[in-house]
Amino acid sequence: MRVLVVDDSSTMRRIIVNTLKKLGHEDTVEAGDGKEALRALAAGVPDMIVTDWNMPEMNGPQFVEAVRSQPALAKTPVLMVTTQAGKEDVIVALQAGVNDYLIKPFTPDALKEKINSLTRKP
Amino acid sequence: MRTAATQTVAADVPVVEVMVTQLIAVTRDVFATMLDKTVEFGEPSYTGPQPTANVVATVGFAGTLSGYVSLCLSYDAALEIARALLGSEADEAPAHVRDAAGEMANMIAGSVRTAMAERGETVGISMPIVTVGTDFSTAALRDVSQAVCPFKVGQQNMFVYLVLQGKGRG
Repeated sequence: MRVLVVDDSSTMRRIIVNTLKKLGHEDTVEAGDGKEALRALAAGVPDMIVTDWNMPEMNGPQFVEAVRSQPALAKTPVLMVTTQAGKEDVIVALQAGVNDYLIKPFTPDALKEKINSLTRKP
Repeated sequence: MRTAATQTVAADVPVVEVMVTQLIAVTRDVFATMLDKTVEFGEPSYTGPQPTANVVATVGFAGTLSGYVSLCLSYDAALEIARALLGSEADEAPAHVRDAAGEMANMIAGSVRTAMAERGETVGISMPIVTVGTDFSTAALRDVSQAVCPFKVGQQNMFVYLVLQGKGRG
């Protein structure tokens, strides 16, 4: 399974990638903002996307809207990991096309649970 | 969405003191959740300047309240935070010192924003800015309220520094 991890913090990307590896998902691609992530998507469709909200160039909701506008990515699971914790923020993210939402700070178990939930086959 | 760290504060308390109460609660929560570390806070002081530090991670905020929050660390403390965040990838820690400090400041400021939103305040936060060096200081030049919140994680002394424009109202 290939996972695209999008966050302007290299430390946060490393934390997420490490968690994915512990769950057996070794194939990861990293991007520092939405625009870089869209370029990465042009090179191949991932099985899951984990994205931050607050990033330079293109923020998380804008990136997810761009993802959902591509038919090949319409059903790719997207997890947003962010400090944006308001009810209205969650609504904006869901309207953009996010499947699930994790608020920073988070425990490793919480991240694992969200990833497992989104990657579980129906 | 209510966070576990949110504290109830009486309505007539000055806004800078309200924010300090929230800052202390969310800093405890961020360190406990992300690093599995216990934080011991000292008494906050309501004066500047910013404490002397080698790594200063700052996140600005603007809206019904304006100002900034800085996480002030020694280099060793910042390195310890990077190691704890990265876990098994701790060899990479020196390369992540700036970014780890910025991410911790981002989570602290973001959690305070959420806590203040529950009190009716609407603020947006900036990207983190991290300054690394020796023998430097910063100063808020306009009419501001300030607070220095000292805390200890293990043997490392750290500070959260709050600057609020005016008496808190923009």
